[in-house]
Amino acid sequence: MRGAFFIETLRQNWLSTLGWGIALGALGLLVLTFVPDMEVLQRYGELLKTLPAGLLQAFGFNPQEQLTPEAFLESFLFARFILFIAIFGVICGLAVTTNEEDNGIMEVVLSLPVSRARLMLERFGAFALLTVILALLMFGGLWIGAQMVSIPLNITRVLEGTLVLIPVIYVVIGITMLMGAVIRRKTAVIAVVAGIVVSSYFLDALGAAVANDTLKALRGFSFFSYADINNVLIYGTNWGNIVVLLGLTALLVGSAILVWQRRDIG
Amino acid sequence: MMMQNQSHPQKLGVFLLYKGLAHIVHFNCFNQIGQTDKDRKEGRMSAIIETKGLTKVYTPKTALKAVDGLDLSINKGEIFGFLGPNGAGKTTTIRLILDHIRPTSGSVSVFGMNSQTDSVEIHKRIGFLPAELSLWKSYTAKQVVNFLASTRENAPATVKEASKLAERLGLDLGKRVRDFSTGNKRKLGLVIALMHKPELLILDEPTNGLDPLMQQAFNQIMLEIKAEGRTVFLSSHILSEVQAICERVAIIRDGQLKAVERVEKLMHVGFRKVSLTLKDSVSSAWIERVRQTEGVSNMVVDTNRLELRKTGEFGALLQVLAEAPIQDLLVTEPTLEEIFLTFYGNDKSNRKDN
Repeated sequence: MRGAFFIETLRQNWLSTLGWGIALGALGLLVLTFVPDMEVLQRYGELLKTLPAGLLQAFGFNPQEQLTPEAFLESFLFARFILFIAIFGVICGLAVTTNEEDNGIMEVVLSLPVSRARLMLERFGAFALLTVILALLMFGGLWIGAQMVSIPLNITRVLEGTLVLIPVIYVVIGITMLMGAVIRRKTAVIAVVAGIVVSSYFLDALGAAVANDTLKALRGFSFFSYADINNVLIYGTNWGNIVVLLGLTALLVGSAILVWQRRDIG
Repeated sequence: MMMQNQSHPQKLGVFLLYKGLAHIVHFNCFNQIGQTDKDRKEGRMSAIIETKGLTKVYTPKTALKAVDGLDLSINKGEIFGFLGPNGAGKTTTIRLILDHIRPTSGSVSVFGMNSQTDSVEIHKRIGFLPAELSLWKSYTAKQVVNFLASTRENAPATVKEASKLAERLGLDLGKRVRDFSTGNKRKLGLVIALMHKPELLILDEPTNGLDPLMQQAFNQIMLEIKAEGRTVFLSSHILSEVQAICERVAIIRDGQLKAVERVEKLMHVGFRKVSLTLKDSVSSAWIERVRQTEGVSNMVVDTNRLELRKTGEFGALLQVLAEAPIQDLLVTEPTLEEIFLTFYGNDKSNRKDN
């Protein structure tokens, strides 16, 4: 039956996604409740300026900027936890084929009347939907938090900032799927994907904070740079970046399918 | 009258057209699946699995062939045993048939379809039990059945059949996979392979871990499947296992097909290995009498131990043996390798008799 793997993937993963969503939502709520008003926010800004500039730059802070509510949210939540959220993408990506190939279940799965391409697409589709649910749960926590504090926060922009995480996670899922299709061994897949994600993160963080033309140019190679949440929170969604991220996802997933279709399994 | 005369050539034309078409249909059908009139007359049916020059090299650097030029044809409605020692290439062949791995050269067709391009259509009609079954450990057997059935066309009927099979095999579907013993996991594997009533069953070492009672139940199920005209392809390294249910067996070793024979022909070899341990030394005359006993061959004497092969009735040999102080006597079935060597002598060249 068509959709069997889509439904089963949702059934298998809805509970853990709910857990992730609630945890991230609670985290958002917690971060927001730390700043009950603008005065406290200004004091945070002053405190940050006392820290070494290099350290702040390495972690994506611009010491010259005023700490606005949006910048606070970006610096203390999105920029920090985008890496954490990427882990969710890796977990999803591994669950497409790598886990079952690693533990031998794929032998049973591949004897079923489903093509390899359909199997991957249905599972990716399910994780794509679960990612949207995760982002909405995270926004739910931020929305509740925003109701509890008196700082002027544009909730539509916060929603956009949260939703822009979705294509980023898709890219991480795509990278993991492709590495799983190419490398086969789960531990090696995790190591390579972790390397790509972490280096991409630091490439983006350094390129954003350091006044170095080379690093700024290299930033374009980091998929995190296309999320650009700071600008999204201030100016709104950059649809060009979204198209780039979705295009990259399609390329990664398509390549993963092509590679996995051609190689021996198990 | 004129009309009648004119109609004769027309009738003849229709008749010739009919004969011609019949000949074309006959030629195409039987040629396509490699059948001859002799096969048909002897009741052999169309090939369900056909491999041609099937070869698999896992690591091109070593060029070691896991399967080497395998030509195999499994007919509809038969239980076909695929025998070979561990590492002979049985599982690799099965994985090639199922399109889990791709051949280095050669081809596989199942139900007359290409195993690679038509794998989805083929898998609809196949039930498979791997040699080492891995399933989702946190699932209950029922959840596994429900999910796998949901990928099939008639899921409710498949689940119903799975319940029947589980009951027959004494399997509790409510238990989690992680709590299953090896035997119960094997039973679940059989339920999964059989539940959608596939036309072709591919079973890799199916009775591994099954107790003798369950092996009997398994044999019964296989014979019922055969009676329904379905086909079974099962691999094993135990001759007695395939002997009970298979009609034909193929023997594979070092990736090469060594023989395809009817089981009764293989079993005609019928020797048993006899090992004796003697309490005291025995006379050379007694040893010579044992050697001269009808059906005794390959006798080896080593101080107080004696080993030999015996074919046919055991009465005469036992009478001679009873005269000696025997401490221990062991009679065993020959190994697959020994049968193979006996059957074909030491000529290990490919001998195929399809």
